[in-house]
Amino acid sequence: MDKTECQKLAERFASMAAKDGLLDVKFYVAGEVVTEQACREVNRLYDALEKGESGELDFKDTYRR
Amino acid sequence: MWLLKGKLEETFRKVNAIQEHIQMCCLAPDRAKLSVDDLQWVIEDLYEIKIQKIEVAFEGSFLHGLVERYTGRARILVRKNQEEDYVRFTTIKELCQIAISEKEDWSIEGTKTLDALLYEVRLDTSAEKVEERAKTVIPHPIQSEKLAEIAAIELMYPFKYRAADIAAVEAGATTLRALAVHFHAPEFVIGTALHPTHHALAEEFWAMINKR
Repeated sequence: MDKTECQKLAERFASMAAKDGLLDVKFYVAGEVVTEQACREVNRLYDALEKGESGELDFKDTYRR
Repeated sequence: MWLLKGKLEETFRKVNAIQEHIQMCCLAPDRAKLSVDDLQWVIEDLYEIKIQKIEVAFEGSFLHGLVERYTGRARILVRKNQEEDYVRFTTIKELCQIAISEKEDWSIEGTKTLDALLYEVRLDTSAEKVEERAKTVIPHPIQSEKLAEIAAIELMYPFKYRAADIAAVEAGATTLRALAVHFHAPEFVIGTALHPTHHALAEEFWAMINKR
């Protein structure tokens, strides 16, 4: 039987803790959604990250001179 | 959801410290939008942590972003395809998460955090009256999520402007949407801040902080 999205994600976080020293992960999730859907989207985020479909987020909004 | 008073007070104190640090270092005009870059700089300085912010292109409707914490560093990952004000709020909320979370709030069990968080959201939107529900102390990782949202609201829309804005809205001189556009915040941030329940809570904690 295929793993659920939550099972895959739990394994990913366990691996990140063991290999990279992950200490904590927190989320901003909103809307009428169940856990499996949320886990699916988190997995999609990491899949996209692994493919390099990402970039630095720079707001360029500093007031400091 | 019931939040521990001690945790709320701690959150407001940290927001206050962050705002004071921003005022010292970053010469923003009055009623200016919060600079995300300056907030990051202050949190990195205050908490001695290096923060990376990355936007990720993935299909999603519910996940706005997340933050990972490691020793001495953190990584914020934000969904690219969402409105600019939500990119701002998500990033600010996750920056606040880094600032306000203590070790007791940390958890690598992300799927359990998601499950408890979403279950609590459904409780909040249920038709049951608050007084008919049992009071249960929410686990620290979940408290931390909600407190970070409160901190983000307090930073994006500073308390000192709200009394006059409440009067202006009531007089028809401005609208929640106009305020949201001005502060580059999602409209729910302004609506939450000006809601009588949240305003009374914020007023109580800011009065407590300003007394000491």
